Amino acid sequence: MLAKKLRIVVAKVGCDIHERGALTLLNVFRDAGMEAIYNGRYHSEESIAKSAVDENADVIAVTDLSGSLVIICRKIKQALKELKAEDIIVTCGGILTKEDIDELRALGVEGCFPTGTPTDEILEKIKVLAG
Amino acid sequence: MRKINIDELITKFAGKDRRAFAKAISIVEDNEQDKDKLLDYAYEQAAGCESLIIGVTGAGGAGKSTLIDKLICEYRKMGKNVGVIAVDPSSPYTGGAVLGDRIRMSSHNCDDGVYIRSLGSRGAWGGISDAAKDVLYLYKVFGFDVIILESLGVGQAETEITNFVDVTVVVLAPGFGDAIQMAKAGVQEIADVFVINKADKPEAENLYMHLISTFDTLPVNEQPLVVKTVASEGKGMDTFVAAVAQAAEKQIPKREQKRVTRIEHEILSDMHKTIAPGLLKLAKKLAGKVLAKEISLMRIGENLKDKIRIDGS
Ligand SMILES: Nc1nc2c(ncn2[C@@H]2O[C@H](COP(=O)(O)OP(=O)(O)OP(=O)(O)O)[C@@H](O)[C@H]2O)c(=O)[nH]1
Ligand SMILES: [Mg+2]
Repeated sequence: MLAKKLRIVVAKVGCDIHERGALTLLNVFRDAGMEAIYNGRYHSEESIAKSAVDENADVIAVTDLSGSLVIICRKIKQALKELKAEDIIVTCGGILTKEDIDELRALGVEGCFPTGTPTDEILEKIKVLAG
Repeated sequence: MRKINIDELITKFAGKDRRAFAKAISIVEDNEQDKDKLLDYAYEQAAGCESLIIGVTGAGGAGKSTLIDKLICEYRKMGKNVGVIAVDPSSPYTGGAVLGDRIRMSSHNCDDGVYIRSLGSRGAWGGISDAAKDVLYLYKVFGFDVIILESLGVGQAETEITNFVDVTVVVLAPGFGDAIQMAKAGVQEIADVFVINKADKPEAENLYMHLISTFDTLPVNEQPLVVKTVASEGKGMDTFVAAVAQAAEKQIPKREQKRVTRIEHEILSDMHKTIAPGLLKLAKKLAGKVLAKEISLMRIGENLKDKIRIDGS
């Protein structure tokens, strides 16, 4: 009954007030048998990275509708590096342009989900990345 | 996922490496094969560790996490390191969970003197996750001055927490049922400190008066302490911290007895885990016989006497 469960920190960074995406993801992850951890809104990248280390999370899933995903993910990656926790996977969803996605890939952020991506697709990708 | 070398992990753990600590907790939670080795180490080391362990329980939404957030602030002011274990319910259907206690405490994320870990209950009885009991040993060894355990709301038969902590705090808030609910849940017997939270609401005073009058009949040294707080505004925290200290003081003579009880409970819980699969198999077999009308459902007890015999010798 006790078995390895995927642990995901759902992250909201900065001043983006929209929370629906985060709340939806929390439910989707729970329903997929994962443990979804939430810090609430308005965090710094450092705060998110540290909580992910303490929670021994496998994945940080950033959601943002302010168009700042590239900046946020870059800083989270940097913070993880400083914590020697680069193996924690970072994914992001929300407002993303084609250029953003290219830039994010270059940063090592593989899972990029523009608004409207079906949740099944997000789950599938995360399972592959963390598998 | 990369396999971790357990000896290396223990060495890092002993060197107070935070990431190693976080991974150690997962090894216990996920019941990985190295768990026993890790726990042997922790159990041995824990003997010399003095932490104050505070259990916080109470109905969902009463304000436990908010209160813990403010409690962390108080202990940090005193220069103490604080470790928190926050248990939220796992879904019985998918095994997944939304772990949201951190939301109220996340202002401490960047404070290296505070460590907060969320655990899913993962099907444990009694409001405290199975793993949490073992994880407490890891926390002790990692060297926190204060360890705070938030467990699932008190419901019926969720009084187990008290066996694993030094001070049990029950958080109540107006609008969560009345004295009957409390009596049913057995919380009157387990609490060292009652917190009436949300004291900004007018009905809180009634609850307070009610508690005070209930405990009036008990001998003075057995009366639980009752404090009022407004956790969301950080009000009443000095009184609360003082009450916890006073309750901890009162526990000292009972420590040895509590330690024995705790060991008994851990053994019981292990026994249950060991025999549960066999019992389930037997129940299925007997159910088949009942359905086939070979035995009466009402005669199962008799039937079991030959199958299960543990007389404790
Ligand atoms: N009015 C008022 N609201 C409060 C007070 N303390 C907490 N709250 C609010 O009560 C709600 C629940 O608080 P939590 O701290 O999450 O409660 P909890 O007991 O940890 O809840 P669970 O972990 O879900 O069982 C939040 O919206 C808090 O802001 C208080 O003293 N007064
Ligand atoms: Mg809570």
